[in-house]
Amino acid sequence: MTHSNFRIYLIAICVVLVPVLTNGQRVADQIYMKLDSSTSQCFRLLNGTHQVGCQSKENGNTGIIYLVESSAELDAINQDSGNYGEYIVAIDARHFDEFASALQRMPSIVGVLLMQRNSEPLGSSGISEDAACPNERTSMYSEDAAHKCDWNPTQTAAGVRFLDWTKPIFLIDNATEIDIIVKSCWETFNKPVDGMAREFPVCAATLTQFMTAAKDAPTCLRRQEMFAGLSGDTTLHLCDPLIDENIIAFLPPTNKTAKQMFEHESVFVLTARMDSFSMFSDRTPGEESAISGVITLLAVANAIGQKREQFSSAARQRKHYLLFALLHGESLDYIGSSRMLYDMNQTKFPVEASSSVKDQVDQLTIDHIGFVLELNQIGSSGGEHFAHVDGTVYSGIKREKIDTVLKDTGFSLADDSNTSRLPPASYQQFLKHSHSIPGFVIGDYKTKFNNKYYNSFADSDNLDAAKAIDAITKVAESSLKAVTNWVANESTGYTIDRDYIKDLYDCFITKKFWDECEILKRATTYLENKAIVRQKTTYIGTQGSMEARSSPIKRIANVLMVGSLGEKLPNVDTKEQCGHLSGLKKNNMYSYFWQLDLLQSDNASYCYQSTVMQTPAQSPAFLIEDYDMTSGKYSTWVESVWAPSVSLKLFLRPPPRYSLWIFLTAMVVLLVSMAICLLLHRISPLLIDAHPGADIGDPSL
Amino acid sequence: MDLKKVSDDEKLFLCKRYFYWGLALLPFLWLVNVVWFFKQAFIRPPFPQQNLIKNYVIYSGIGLGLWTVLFVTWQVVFQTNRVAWGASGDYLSFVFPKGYA
Repeated sequence: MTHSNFRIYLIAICVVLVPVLTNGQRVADQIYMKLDSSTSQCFRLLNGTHQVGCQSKENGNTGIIYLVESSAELDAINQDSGNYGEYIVAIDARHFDEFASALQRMPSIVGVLLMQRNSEPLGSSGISEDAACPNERTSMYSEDAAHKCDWNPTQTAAGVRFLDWTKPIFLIDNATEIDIIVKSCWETFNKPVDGMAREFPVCAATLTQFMTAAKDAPTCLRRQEMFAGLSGDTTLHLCDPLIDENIIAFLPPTNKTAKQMFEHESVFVLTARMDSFSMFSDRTPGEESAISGVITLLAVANAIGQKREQFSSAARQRKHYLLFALLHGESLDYIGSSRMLYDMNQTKFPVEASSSVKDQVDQLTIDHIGFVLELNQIGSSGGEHFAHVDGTVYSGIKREKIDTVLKDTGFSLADDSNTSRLPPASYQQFLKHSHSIPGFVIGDYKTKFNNKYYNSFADSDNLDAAKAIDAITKVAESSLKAVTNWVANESTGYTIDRDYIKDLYDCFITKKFWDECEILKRATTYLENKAIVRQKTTYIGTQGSMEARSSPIKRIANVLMVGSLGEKLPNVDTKEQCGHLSGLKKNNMYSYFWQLDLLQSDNASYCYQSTVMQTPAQSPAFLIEDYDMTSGKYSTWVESVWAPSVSLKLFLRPPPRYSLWIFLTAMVVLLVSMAICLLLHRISPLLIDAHPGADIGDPSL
Repeated sequence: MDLKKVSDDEKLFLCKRYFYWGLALLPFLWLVNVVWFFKQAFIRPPFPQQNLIKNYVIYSGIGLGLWTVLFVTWQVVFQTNRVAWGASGDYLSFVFPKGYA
């Protein structure tokens, strides 16, 4: 090859080899350290009037790391802000509630790293992300401004989750990463020495978590609809309404054809909520807030299911019915219950009347309801349980009905005066529609919640197992007696299976994932998308059309309810045949599910026929035409869509004067280059051959 | 088009045409008029059509000034009030911001 070609090849080979031989890294990797074990970032929710939650700039929020352990550090930040500019505060989860308002308020704090060491308890202060008066806007007492509502002991009255943070919050529970932040980053570079701020370089971080929706729910929904993409395929996806399903079961079922219908005040409703929430979408264990009530209700369902035939015939004689209702979305302004009552008013509950189905259920309306017993937070350590009534209902004509059921349960009233208020509970929604339905709410608290972690990321591992199981068993037994007496006029022959409660407690609460114990492993056998189902998530979430993405707690509770209340069909031997039965729609009284026997240890599966159904839990706000989203009548919560690139990077920031030096150097280099170019231009006649064309056609090249 | 190659009558004709068409809510035509014929109207030594050309350029300039004021005012009003106008603001927008109101 020719001389110049050879030189070109040599240069090319060197260029390619240099990065390989010098173990070349991207410059970015040499500067930034990525901490990516955390999958818990605070996300944004929007309702009819506000946006709450977190937001970062599209390229992330950058600030100097500052460890806050007391208000002294916050004062230091306030005074220091000229020195460093913007801060990312690292704070232990124990102190979060105390300083949440200050962290949210201070504009010089542009991000928060919440550190939770798993081995340490969160201390006696607790942390709840909900407001002091949960669900205040949609409560039945919202008109009554004089009344003080402070059920939830939290240091941030509005609720940490409901502040508009406009800064990202990352939850870190990996011990290695916490050590990196506290030791390698903070103590080595940033911690003030003898009260004096440290010199540069200091350790800084960039947090990126970008939410696309803003302002409020009507805005993001309207913009989604209005957006006309430049091509037909582009859509603007900003936010999604929260939606899932309630699980209900009637026992015995009604049948219009057989003239078995609801009568006035003939239905006893036993209800519990199955959801909780947190600002971190994957941290919603809701153990005391929701799961405790769910386990209690499941235990009662199991006990009645053991004697299902006996119960059903006794109930039919009295023309009474029992409705089990596991409601979803209650912690976010009563999504499930408000929808259930809305459907009742439209006579669409549990399903609309249909002309094509032969044996169909009767529609339940509010005047068929005779009693509501709700289970709300059961089992905190050693505490007594109380029944809560609404003072107006209790001092009215229904007092006797309430007292009768109360006597059966053996609980005492938290407040028996005529100013007694209900805690935040689904029963409130029933009373909003008809202010004379007798009922009460059972909970482990009297005037303030015992649960210091109500609706928060930390609502797990706080219960004492032995005491909680005892409490759940006791409440389940009391509720069972109340239910069977009211519906079937008998209470002997029904027993709570304490081992069942122990198993469920172990499965839902003690174990780290929801499929690590026998019962739930069997329950999740036929469920799709097991990777999601095993996560301890009670948040209602948004939902595409895929069943496989819907709420784990709902899908698992459904299997458990069917297992307790269903009957095995003898001649149905395959999953397909079972599915075929539900497709046939000869009746809508029963549902058909293919699952394992949860209490056996064999591998045989059966087709269970039961009255367990799923009804929509989506706020009526999204159904009603021209609903005024600012009215506060129904839940209007939507969840923002967030950009996929989420990251947390640490790096060292050099002194600001470095930027000045770099700039000056660049200017000097620029001027020098310009001078050289000018010089070369001037002397170019001397350098370049004055006779062009001499080289072209040279035969030796 | 190079004005050097065009006769003075033609120049007057163009300037006039641009002015009148600009009345159809086309302020950029007036901008073109002002920029293009400025030298002809004010800097070149007098020629027979210059007076008329000068008039058209001045009228275009006045119209341009009014339109500028109008546009600037509307921009300021819209940018500062778009969020407060809520739904109406959105109906007037073509592209929506992500992540902030």
